[in-house]
This record gives sequence, structure tokens and C-alpha cells, in this order.
Amino acid sequence: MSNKDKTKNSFEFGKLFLIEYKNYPKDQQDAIALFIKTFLDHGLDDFSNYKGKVTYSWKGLECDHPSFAFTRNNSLWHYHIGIPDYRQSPYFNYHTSDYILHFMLLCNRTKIVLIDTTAHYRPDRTFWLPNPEYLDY
Amino acid sequence: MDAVKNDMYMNLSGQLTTKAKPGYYSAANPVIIDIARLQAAIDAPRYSITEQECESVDSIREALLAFSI
Repeated sequence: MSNKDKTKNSFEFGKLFLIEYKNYPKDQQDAIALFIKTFLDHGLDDFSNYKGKVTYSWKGLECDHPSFAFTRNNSLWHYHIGIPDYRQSPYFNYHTSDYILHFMLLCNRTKIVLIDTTAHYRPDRTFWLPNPEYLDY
Repeated sequence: MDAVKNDMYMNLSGQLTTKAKPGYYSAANPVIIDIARLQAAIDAPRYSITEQECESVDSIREALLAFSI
């Protein structure tokens, strides 16, 4: 076997995420499962494999922003899962949605840990980050 | 040249100061390991999904639901 063979992508899930998953609506469960399937098949090297926008959660934050350390140190990313529906971005070639899936991207981008599903923004329009206890896996 | 015996570092106020190096291997600061907690972490089940379960969206969904029970 060549030592240049690609590392297999894998996923895990937070303990609280697993408990709450069974209570998600079916379309939300399916959207998350589709994201997992896409990641296992393609990884995150090419975002065009994903219909929704996928990005790291410290994007655009200054280093001294309160959320920068939390998101960066925990390698938190998020994916727009299309719940309740997708909207085409007028500026870029991806879709956004009201609800996003938070996950940690680990092991040189070959492993994801599913953390939580939340609305993209809180009522005060701040980015809705998962609570720290959700990071336990 | 004599070996450096003290570390110099910036304290919070920004002034240079010196302090004796801490005894990294001092027997006065033993490390206490909670063996029970460590063993419980080692023995904790790790959820795993087979390749067959990852073949489709439905099978992934069913596998996750099975873990949730």
C-alpha cells in the first residue's frame, strides 16, 4: 500500500448532540445525515460538493473578539443545512439557511465531531455559538 | 561562563524581573492520578458506525438514531 493513500474521513458526535438528534424533525435529521455522507465521501477539500455554505466559525472575527478564542481553539466550523430552506447567496456560489450545524474539524481535516444545531443568529443578531458543554464527546 | 541559574521574564506590569527556576521534578509536588476516573475513561464505550451504515443518508440516520436510544 502506498504511503500516499488518502486518509479515510471519519466522524463522531457530541454526547448532547446524540441525545437531541432523535428529537429533531426528520428533514433536519436527513440534512445532517446528508452532510455526514458528503463529508465521508469527499472531505472538505472542495466546498462545491456541498450545497450549503461551510466555513470556520471564527471567520471575520478580530483576535480579541470574545468568540475568537472559543471557536478557533476548538476548531469550530459550521454548515448551513438548508432548514427550513436554502437561499442562494447573491454574491457567492453557495446557499445559506437559517439553521446551521456546528462541528469541530480535527485530525488534519479528516475528522468531524458533530456538536449542535442552532439558528445562525440569536435574536440580538449575534452569531449563535454552541454552549461549551456540547463540545464534550 | 557560568550556567544561567535564573529565568528572566516579563511580569504583568511589563518590568523585567528575575525568579528562581521552579523545581520541575521536585518530590514536594507529586502528581496525583485518579485511577478510577482514568480507568472509567478507558473503559467507556466508543460509538462506531460501520462502513455499511455509512453507505446512504438513510442508513446514517438510522445508525445515529440507534445510538440515541
